[in-house]
Amino acid sequence: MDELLREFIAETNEHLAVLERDLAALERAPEDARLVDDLFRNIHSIKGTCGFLGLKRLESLLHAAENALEKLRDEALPAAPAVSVPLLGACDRAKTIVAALAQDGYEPDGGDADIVARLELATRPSAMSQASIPASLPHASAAPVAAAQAIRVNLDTIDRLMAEVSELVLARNQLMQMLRGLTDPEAEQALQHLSQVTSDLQESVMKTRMQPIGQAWAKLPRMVRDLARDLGKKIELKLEGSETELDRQVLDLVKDPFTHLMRNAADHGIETPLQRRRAGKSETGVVTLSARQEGSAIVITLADDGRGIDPERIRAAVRRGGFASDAELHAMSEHQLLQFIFHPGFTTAAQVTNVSGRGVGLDVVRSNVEKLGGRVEVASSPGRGARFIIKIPLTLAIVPALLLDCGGQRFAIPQTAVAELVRSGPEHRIEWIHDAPVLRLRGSLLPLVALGDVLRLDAASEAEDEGLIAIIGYGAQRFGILVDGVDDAEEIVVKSLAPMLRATRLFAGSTILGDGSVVLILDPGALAAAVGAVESLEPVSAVAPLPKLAGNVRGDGLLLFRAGGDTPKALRLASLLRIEEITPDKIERIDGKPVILYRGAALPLHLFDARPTGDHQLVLIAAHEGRMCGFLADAVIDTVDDMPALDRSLAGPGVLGVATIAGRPVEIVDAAHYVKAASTRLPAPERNAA
Amino acid sequence: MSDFVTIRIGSQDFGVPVMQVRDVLGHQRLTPVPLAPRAIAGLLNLRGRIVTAIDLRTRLGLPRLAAGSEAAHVVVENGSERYALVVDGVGDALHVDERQLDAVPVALNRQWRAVASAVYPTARGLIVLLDIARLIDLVPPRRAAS
Repeated sequence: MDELLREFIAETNEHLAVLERDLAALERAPEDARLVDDLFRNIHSIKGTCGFLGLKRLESLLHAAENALEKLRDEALPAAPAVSVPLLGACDRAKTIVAALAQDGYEPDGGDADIVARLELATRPSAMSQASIPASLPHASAAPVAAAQAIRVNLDTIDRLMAEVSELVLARNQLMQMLRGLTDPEAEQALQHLSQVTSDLQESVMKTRMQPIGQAWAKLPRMVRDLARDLGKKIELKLEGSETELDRQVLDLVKDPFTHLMRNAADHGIETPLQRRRAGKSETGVVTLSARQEGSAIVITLADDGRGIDPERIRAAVRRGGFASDAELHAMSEHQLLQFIFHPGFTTAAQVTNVSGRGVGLDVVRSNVEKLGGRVEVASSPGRGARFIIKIPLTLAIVPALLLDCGGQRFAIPQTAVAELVRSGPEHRIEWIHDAPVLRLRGSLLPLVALGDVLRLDAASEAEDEGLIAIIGYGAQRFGILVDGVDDAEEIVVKSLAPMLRATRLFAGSTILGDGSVVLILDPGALAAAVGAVESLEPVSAVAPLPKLAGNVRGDGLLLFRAGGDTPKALRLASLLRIEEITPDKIERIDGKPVILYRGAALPLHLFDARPTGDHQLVLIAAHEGRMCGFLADAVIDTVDDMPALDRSLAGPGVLGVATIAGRPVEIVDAAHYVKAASTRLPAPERNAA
Repeated sequence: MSDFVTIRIGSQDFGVPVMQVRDVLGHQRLTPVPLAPRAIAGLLNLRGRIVTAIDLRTRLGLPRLAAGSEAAHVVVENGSERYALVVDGVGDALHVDERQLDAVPVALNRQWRAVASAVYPTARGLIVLLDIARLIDLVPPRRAAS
């Protein structure tokens, strides 16, 4: 049987079932004009398809029923049994015809003059006059309306539809690119039309995937109620803009962030009723969650009228957690300070409650939102409340991406991850901390990696003094990737990689470009991880530049680093060989002395006060007269170009002296002392190639 | 499981279950995948669908064809995923009488044994029948375990 016909039969059976139900309802409520409207529409739509498929008998039967309903509607007459009974008869007959159609593939012979006549008779003016009671005002009968106008569609079907439309968009883009500068006006017009229809179709299909954000909020009122009870607080939740729609896929991914933020607001934001009364506020704290659309993004704000975020508590927690040194903290703006709440492991809660305070939460919020190509920001006004602003894209189906050239190959990267493009030169210099390149950009040092090195491409260009750098923002992390060139931006559809390619981790997927070629999509998060060892340079961007930063770092400068304790330490760049990143489990002990395995030999390690606790730790490898030793550091702070004046009165074993940098004392480490001390105990590792 | 498409690598014939073969293509433009397992030849665009190409020579521990040599792609399906096998050439269809199938000889090189399901004797010599699911199992064991 014809596919079209089969679809028609399935559809018509549904329509007829609704028709039957509505007719039954009409008998109970003969004056319901809305019901008459629905019936009319329903019959009209079946009839339309009948005409298209050439089903004459069904068409004329339904036409008669439609006429009868039209009269009822236009003359606002109640549906007396004299009318509804023949209508039901027409419905039954239609069912018989459709059943035969399903079986044989064509309409059964015979006529429906009997029913048509009864319908005509029932709606003839004379017949109607007896029932001409003034019609009452139409009243709503919601259920049948909804049933008649919405159908249930499997989500998979919609997802597949979306995928296919995305492909169509790409094919359209491809065609447009190929036929750019077309001279045939007719073909150009056809192409324009195709393009327009494709865009409309994309929008329509996108709409079917849209769901009100309120669905993701459904559980929040109950949660807030329970939280308030558990915490002994009074909390009112206000939801605004819950009808704002966004892509179902995005919606699924933002549910968790809402939960985390809500817990955070209830636990840390809102005060107890007593505290609130003392602060001159109403006992009930208000948390407002609102959503609105801004262009192709959705902006969601979660605001509470609680105590706000106390900068002093953040500062204390930063210190306690060893996230930054006092010097760094001192130089930070309040806004920069606030961003620490998104750090993994950060918590200000003195005690861990079962609500929050385990130091998980806000970093998860940030990483979830960033996975979507979104951003989270926080603002606070102490005593008055805090506000979290989440900005996420409407849809993930089609992503704007930038194409990067590297080693003769092109790679795509989501445009949301690219903060800016910089050409290195006198203005933005690439500098070196031994063999680790960094970019000096507006007073801060950004770690830099050559994409070709990360991808181990043969034709990788070395990080030279001239190059194009894409500055990637991933969370609080900013770093540069050095590429050979940057192509146009293009809209791409992300396709997942085959399982055996996912282990590379660096790619988020692949896509087909307008010219038909396949490119890999770089995962900004994975690149951030690949920046690895130099990652800890990141706090530099949050610190005001130290004085005398200009000049060649390769000279007799200093590398400032933190290794536990309050006082930063510094190592002369001349003695620094390289910076390695290790996990704490790499530290082994020989004779009770810490070592790490480096280039196949045991490298003695000096720990200072750095405690190997975090996920990763830095080892500064220093060399002296062909021998090496490592220093465990928590983070690299900055570099200083030349040797400042030393106060040698504080010198001692392993300490050359103390210098004042940016108004703070810095202990200058005597690398030679440690190298010598270590190498008397251990066989010297291989001679360094520096 | 009785019809196979024969493919040739060097002087050896292999059989791929015809039920899993979706396409046979000539030379293709491949996008290399950095950091991928060595046997991955690259990605190709098969009528709007991205297909991962596996170099059968590398997979079997043989040297790759010299650049520019004519290679063929046999597109196979495993579950919902499609892969293109890069081979030297594609031969005839082979109807297999299952009673004549031989077990994979233990003496066969380990890499071959891992991807072979059986051996079939023909007038032209032995044909090694390939198990596609095992052939595409390139995920390093360390990750497969997690």
